[in-house]
Amino acid sequence: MADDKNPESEVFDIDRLRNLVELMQEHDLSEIDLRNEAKRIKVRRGAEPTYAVPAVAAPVAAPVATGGAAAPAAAAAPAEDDNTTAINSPMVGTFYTRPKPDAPNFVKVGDHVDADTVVCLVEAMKMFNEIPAGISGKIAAVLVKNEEPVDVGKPLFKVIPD
Amino acid sequence: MEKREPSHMLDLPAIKSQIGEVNFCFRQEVTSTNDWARDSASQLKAGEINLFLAENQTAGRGRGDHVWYSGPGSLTFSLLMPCPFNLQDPRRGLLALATGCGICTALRSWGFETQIKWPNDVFFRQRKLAGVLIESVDHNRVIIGCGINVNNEVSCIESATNLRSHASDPVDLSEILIALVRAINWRVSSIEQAPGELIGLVAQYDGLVGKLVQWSTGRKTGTGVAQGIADDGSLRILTDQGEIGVHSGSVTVLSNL
Repeated sequence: MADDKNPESEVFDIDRLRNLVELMQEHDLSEIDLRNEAKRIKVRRGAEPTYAVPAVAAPVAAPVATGGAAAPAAAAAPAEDDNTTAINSPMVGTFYTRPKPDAPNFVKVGDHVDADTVVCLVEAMKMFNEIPAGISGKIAAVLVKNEEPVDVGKPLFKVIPD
Repeated sequence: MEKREPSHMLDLPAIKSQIGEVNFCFRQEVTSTNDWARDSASQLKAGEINLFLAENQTAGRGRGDHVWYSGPGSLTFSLLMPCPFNLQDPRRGLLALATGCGICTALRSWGFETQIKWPNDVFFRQRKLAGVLIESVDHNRVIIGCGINVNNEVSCIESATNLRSHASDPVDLSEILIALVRAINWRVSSIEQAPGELIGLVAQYDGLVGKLVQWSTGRKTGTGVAQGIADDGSLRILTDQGEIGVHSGSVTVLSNL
């Protein structure tokens, strides 16, 4: 991914490349593009950066592109690989495990929930929405970290249904 | 009993008689009017609109761990009302903007050319005048919490302002409150019938458009130039990766372009 063809160019020095990769890992950078007159080095980690609406269950949710139609998500949907059911986010926003910063989490692994039990908040445009479980069962896993962005349909919890 | 300044006093009978169908509850001091409304919700009818007004709020909340400071002469209140949109409805995100529009409309009728800072703050002359915090309750009702600096002291907070600093006389708290409650109630209640009108008004009041901003969503941040508000209420920002829509978190103005 470099434009410079000069084999003697120190821009391709292996130590320099190693340092760049370490810097990218340390600061979680996806791309470095250095230029010095005709010399150039461009290094990219992971997939091409995108701001399109991620598919359901994509690890990164926000920001999302304007104009992406948000299909309504079922509150709970069967997970593919086991006997659990996922509680999905009904909206784009930020996930909160507790009602206030100094309060305990709404639920934890092992808790029993009913359909109306509030399991988390999702904040969207400064509206803090209580998200109900939508299903009765036992919380098997919390899939998202506190204050992480989520998209429509993003699985938030795994539940073992009653 | 401690004597209060006239500019800090509320005319409770006038408020009660002039807010229409809205039920009125008043306490001198609460921790947070949003918490008071939430605690009261189960005893109130789902279709009603209730105003919870407190003279002093000892633990008012903003987003996350932010604190809303309120003292004598400020207005702190919450409206508990039905939410016209279910959890899946993207129009739900318009509630904060509708509230901000209601606040701006009311205050502009008094000559204060306020602006909305997406999505839930109201600014006057580049400083924060009012904040909004909305929470859902019972899955089909919302609590709209508002804090407005009117005659209260704000000089210790550099980024804040109050109405008193820009008026020749102390502002009548009760009259401002009545105007705010009517305007917010009207604006929120009419989102469903006239969403286009709301978006048009938001564009008119938008205080971010054309400014270099930093957005922060959870642990993610970025910078770009604000392009206005999309029809779903998200903030359009032009970044070096193209235009994005920000749906949650907060935004800071870095500079006027």
